[in-house]
Amino acid sequence: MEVTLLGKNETMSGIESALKVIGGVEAVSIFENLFYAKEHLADHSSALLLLDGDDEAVSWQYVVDELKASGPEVRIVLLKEDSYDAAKAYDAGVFDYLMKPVDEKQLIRVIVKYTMHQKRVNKP
Amino acid sequence: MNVVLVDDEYYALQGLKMELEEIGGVQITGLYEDPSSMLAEIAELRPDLIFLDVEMPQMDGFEVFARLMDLGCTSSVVFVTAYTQYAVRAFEINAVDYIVKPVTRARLEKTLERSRPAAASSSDTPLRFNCFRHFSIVAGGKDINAGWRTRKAAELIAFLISEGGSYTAKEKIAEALWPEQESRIAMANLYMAYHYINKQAGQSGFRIPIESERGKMRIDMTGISCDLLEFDELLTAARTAPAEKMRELMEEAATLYTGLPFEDAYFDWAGEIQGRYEYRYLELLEQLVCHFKSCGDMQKAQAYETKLLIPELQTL
Repeated sequence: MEVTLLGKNETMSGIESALKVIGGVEAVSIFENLFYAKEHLADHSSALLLLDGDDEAVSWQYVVDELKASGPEVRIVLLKEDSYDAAKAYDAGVFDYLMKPVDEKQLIRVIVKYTMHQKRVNKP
Repeated sequence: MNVVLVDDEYYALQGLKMELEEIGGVQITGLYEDPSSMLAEIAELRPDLIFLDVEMPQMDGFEVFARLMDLGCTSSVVFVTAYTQYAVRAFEINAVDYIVKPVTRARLEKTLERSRPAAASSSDTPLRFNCFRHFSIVAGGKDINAGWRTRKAAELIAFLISEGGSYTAKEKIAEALWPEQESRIAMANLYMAYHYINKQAGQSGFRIPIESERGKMRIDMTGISCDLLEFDELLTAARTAPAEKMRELMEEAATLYTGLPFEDAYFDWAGEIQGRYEYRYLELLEQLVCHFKSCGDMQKAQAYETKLLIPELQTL
């Protein structure tokens, strides 16, 4: 499984380390810029994209819309400091919502959720 | 899709029922103001989807959810509530959706769309690739191949099908589809064709499952029916089948072959796959001739022999 992280390096590097320890995650890529993240997704089949939703420079709803419109289907996991946007995240079709600080337990939950979802979708 | 609604407020329940009926495509198999009654009957109902209110007097929606899990219920759950504060918890327990009241039709339509892939897991194969003679992609009874604005989109899909679902280097694909272009331009064209397919297929409601990663690409043939694959599977099964069954399988394979793969598309790269399948088909005809001659069915033997000897009749 490949995972893409979109957000500031200082926020995402801890998550990157945690993901690498969890089994089943073969590659983790970090991007601070939406454009480069989209380019990467065009070339790579990323199972999950973890998006830092607290970046004041750009609204997470805009980023989610851009990612969904750009083509490859990727499950977006929104990372936020508070719970206020969770209902809106459901509206936007976000796959999961994690409250910071993100720990290994939360990441494992998301990966298991993704695996179970794929099993249901691919059931003959 | 079978749906059950649970809300302690009668008018909320009726309102949701009305909206779902107007959207269509769902069958409401249960309406409950009392979640305990729903829990008592859920094993029999086995809905695909449960719309569940959160704040109810006897037990809240999350407690109902926990009881559903204890009962081994595999239905997807959508929370419907006037409050936003439970949404994180809904994510944590993998609720399919969380709708804040008042419920609008547009929002409900989104929910049903999200729920459909899981609910429709036992439905008919959504996509069919027809490759012999005329290349078509049928989805929901409609040929969606005719709708591409660029011929290269169809050609990319056809090429990936011809690779049998295996990963193929993008350079190889780009060279096959744009043989006269410089490598850099051919690769850029490949990315554009791939994005175009995703965008167009998404708009038509059907997804062509092309996977792109680390310099390679493939089409995921899981759950997709394809006449080329069916032809191969029938011939493989025929090899070890008893005589009567073998004849049946071989004749079925022969009817699938209506012409060379992608014959009317004139793809430059298709020569190899066309030669391969033509050889298999001619071998199949020979086997059928031998089989019917040995059974004494000379009429059928002659019919297949005629096809073998006169190419124009091979696909009649």
